[in-house]
Amino acid sequence: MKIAVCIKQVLDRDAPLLIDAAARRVRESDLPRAMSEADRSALELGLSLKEATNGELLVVSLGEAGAVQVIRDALARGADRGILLQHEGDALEPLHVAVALARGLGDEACRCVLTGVQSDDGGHAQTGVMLAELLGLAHTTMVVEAAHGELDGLRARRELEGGALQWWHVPMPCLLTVQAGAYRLRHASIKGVMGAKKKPVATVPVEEAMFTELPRTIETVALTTPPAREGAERIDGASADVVSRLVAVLTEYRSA
Amino acid sequence: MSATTLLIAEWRGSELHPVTRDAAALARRLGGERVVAVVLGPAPAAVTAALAPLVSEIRLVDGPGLSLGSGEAACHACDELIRRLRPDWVVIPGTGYDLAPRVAARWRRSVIANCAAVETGVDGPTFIRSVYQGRLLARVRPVGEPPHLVTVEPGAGGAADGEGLAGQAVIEQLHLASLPAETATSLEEPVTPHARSSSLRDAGVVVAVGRGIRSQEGVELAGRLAQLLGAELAGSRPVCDEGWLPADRQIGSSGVTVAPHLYLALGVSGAIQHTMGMHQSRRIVAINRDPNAPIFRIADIAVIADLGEILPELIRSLEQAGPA
Repeated sequence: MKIAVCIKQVLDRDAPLLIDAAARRVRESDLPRAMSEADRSALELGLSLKEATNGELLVVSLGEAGAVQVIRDALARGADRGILLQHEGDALEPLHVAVALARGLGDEACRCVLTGVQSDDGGHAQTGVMLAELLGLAHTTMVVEAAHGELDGLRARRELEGGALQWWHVPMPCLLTVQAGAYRLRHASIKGVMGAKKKPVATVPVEEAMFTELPRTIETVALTTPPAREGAERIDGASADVVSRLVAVLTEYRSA
Repeated sequence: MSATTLLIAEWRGSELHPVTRDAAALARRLGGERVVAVVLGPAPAAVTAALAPLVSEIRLVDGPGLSLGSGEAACHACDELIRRLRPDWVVIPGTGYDLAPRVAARWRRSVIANCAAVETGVDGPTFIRSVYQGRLLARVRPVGEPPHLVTVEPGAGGAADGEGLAGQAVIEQLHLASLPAETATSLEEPVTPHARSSSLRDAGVVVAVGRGIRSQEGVELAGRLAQLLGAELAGSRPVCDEGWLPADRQIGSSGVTVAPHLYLALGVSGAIQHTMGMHQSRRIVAINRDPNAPIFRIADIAVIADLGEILPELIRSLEQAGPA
């Protein structure tokens, strides 16, 4: 069966967060990037479904030209081909991302589309479900486990708050959003890395004209660093000083 | 101009879900005297009673599919209610991530998702939400025509119950015959949460490790520290996903909730999913090398340091100081 996984390239979690002068954007150029964590989980589920059904796995990413890196990375780990929906400049709002992804996947007739629950950066947690609506697919969110089930559907386990779990039957074609950490993404083999270079990647520009009928609906007016808690004590500096202050604090609080 | 706000109430079992209170508070802060709460499906009377002081009107909605807990029926019902009531705002508790985006896509809008707070000003409201896993805050505004869709993070709150309201809500029944009775997705079995470690739940001191602990060896060092402090060892989700700690040691929204008198967080970034399980701790001491780590927003003592450097020294110092 044909499966698509939507993956996003984000700033690496260990990279510094540098806010631009207008306080609207986080600087990403020249800083390390990575595949968003929940998307890694979705990709591994996609790879396992591909193997179980002897299917085809397509990866799609919307991003700047450099986002081809996460596509190549996915191909090296076993995906078959990629589509880069290339968009330069400010990040698009979630609806516009979903619309562009729906265009990109519109002719593919995938039986199953997977996305992460939310991205590491914007964390809007909505692109996947919007994509399901735009493609007319059934959907289930917050999936931690899924496999091919009866009646040409998927059996999916959701994890909700408080550790509550549910098993759902989701008829295909469908879209699942997958939780970070649910699946550990396999490593690429040397053979996989070599083979990835020969796998096809189509680049499709995402033009602003695509959104002329879709005016913007939300805008970020400022990005700020969260304030520390009022009255909190801050300890930093040389290790020896930090440790002696910590020992005092812990000794006092432990018995309090 | 008087605004109308639609609030989709979330309920589980026989109770109003606590996040609905947060969502109702945010809805009232949006300035509308008219906050219409929608209860989808056959909710028990206790839910309506809990909701009545929080809003100005309640619609008890029934129709095919809603009693099955079907997402499709809920989505159709919201769609229909937006059509009928023409609200300026649609406020949805941020629990399932299911409903709001599906409704929003139908109305060709993005959701202002997981809001922690709202600030009201002359230009209208600005919503505050966490981005970059809580390391930054974004101020977001709606643009263009209503309805504007907002989901609310658990614990957002921000207004006292009933503040700004005339009195008890007016309650109406509403039958939506047009809802789809057939549902595509179906619930096969709910699974009760596995028993979580009770020694952890009742602990007086908790040492919690996060991604910043970096390795199994790091977790073992933290275990030694826990022993010296007479503490229970626990972890955030990534640490349990890695298998460095068993799943029943996970603290947060999908794990155990604790409220010890001392919570020592080692390399825990402090994502909302984690802090929901520990924010009521009496004292929070957090060690992280990232000064932007969101855990510092709730910590009493913020230690900006590299764990690799200070953890062995800290253990040595406590060992010299003698047993607890």
